[in-house]
Amino acid sequence: MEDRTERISNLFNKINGWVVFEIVLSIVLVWLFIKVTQKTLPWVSEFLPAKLRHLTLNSVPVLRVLALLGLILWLVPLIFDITLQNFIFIAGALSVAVGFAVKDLASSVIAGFVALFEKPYRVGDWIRIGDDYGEVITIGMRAVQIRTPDDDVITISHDRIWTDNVANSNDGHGTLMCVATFYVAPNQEAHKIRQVLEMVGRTSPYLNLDRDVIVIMENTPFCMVYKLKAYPFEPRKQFDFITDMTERGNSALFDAGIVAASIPEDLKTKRQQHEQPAPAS
Amino acid sequence: MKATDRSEIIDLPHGLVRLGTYEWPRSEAQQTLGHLLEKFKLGLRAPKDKNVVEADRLEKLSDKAFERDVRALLTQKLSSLLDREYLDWAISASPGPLQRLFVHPPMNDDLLSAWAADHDIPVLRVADGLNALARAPCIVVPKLEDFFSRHETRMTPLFDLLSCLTFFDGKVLFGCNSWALRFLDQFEDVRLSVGQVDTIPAFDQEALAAIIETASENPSAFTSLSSGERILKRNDDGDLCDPFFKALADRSLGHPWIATELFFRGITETQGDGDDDADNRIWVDMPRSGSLPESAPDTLKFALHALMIHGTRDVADLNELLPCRAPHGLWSQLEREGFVAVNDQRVSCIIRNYPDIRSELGAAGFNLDKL
Repeated sequence: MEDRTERISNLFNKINGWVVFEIVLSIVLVWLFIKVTQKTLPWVSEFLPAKLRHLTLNSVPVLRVLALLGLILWLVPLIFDITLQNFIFIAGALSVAVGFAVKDLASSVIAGFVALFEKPYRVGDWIRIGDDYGEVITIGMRAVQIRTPDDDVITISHDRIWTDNVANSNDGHGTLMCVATFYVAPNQEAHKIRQVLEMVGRTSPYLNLDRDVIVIMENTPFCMVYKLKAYPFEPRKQFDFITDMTERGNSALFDAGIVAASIPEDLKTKRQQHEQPAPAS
Repeated sequence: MKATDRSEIIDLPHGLVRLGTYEWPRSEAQQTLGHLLEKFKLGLRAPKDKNVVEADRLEKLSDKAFERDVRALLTQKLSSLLDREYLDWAISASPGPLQRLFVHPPMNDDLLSAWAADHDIPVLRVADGLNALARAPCIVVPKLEDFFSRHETRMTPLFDLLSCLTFFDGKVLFGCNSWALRFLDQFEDVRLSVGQVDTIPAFDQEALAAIIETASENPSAFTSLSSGERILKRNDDGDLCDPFFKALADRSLGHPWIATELFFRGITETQGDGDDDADNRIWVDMPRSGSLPESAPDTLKFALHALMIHGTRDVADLNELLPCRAPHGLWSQLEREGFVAVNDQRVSCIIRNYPDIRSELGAAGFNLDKL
């Protein structure tokens, strides 16, 4: 019993008033640093163009991890007497505690750490995890927050990267692909439709001129599907851009005499018959 | 001495440069960050750096004769750059490229039309006029931006023109503003039609100093308001002592017609108080940057971008090129901010504020012109 008490007491250094003051001061300073970077860098980034904005925003989680690592490296030798024996003892105790008590939290924190280097998402990226799509606004220790197009903020635990696919629309770049879809009746001049739609994309005020505009077409049973794909100059304008392409595309196709797709009459009839309740026998 | 009497000026660029080789005085990132910093300072209402003369003792000086001389000298120099690059090619029957393009950032004057008129080279302003010029050995199409609007149905005149010109036997010198070319560069029809592209090189501090020095009656009188130094004074190595012209070259992006307008804007004189030394000085200062307020709606930036691409246009034309309905007061707001001038329902860019417009659009993420 005495031996165990001695071993535990050997784990720690002598803690006097000055050490306590140093510990508290370091924690306060690191906390202040993290808070200041979390507040100021996103604010500064709002003044910057997309490229620089992403760079600034992405420095926030990196700075936080660096600050926390620095804090740990500073505090551990102050509190613990680090020897190989002590290290094994502490690591064993921590593993048991983490394994039983806070494994989900630990999993998220480790996933967050992995995400920081693997970069499945960065602040400012537009991502989809499961059914949720939005712009990454913060990356915390445990979770990532995204703002959806409906202005909802969704908090998603980092450990989703173990189980779910993460679709990243811009992957750290200043632009992302937008798609406007058009359904037109079959047997019309495909070449003309493609030209009209391409011109619509190329003349949009939202277009990123560094990227190409493409139109792809696809056969479906009752209509032709045209997809106009282009990049906006600013990812936050993606919905305005899609709206602009859709609005002007519809108008241009109409002006060019292109007939929009409609549901065939026989299918309509079948659907109506299907929807009518069966006569009572 | 009249500016037009000057035939040779040292330190000025001697020829046009190929597109893509323009030496920007400051990189795009530096320019954008510098502009944002200025904007930030304005937002904090930071006092301007202390000058050597109090502001209430200064009076705006407008010397029309000097301004006219500087502009004439500059036009002469720019025309000589065009002569050197295009004149032999245009008037000789020797084989060579049939099409060339001269691209330039926004400017007040139609330099290429004036140059063509000086050398009796016919100018094509409307596509229909090509038939009348069918036998000309060379024609100038000074403003490609006049042949299109950034709209899905209004690009046709440009493509029709390019199509007609493929059957033209003579040489064609196109002119185009750099923003319009940035937009047009995405169309293969344009890329393949215009041939070699040249632009005016950047004018550095020495070139700008040479222009002011040559055109002025009393160049040694120009004194920097912030440092109190004569801005044209040189040290033993022949370098300019004061950084004023370096700052002017940076601010004007190396475009001399903008630098000179900024220079005119910054000239002041002291109200006489018997101080002989002060009376002998003409104070010059760098005008403060202009910027849109943070709360400015995006429509203002879209409007500026449309103006940059299309050049001077009718208000109604430009309004139709915006992504949404143009709000009332849009152009008058931009006029109040000092970015545009509206005369007879036509909007044009205030050329001395072009660097600020470019920075605003760059900070908002718009594609900027390339030189």
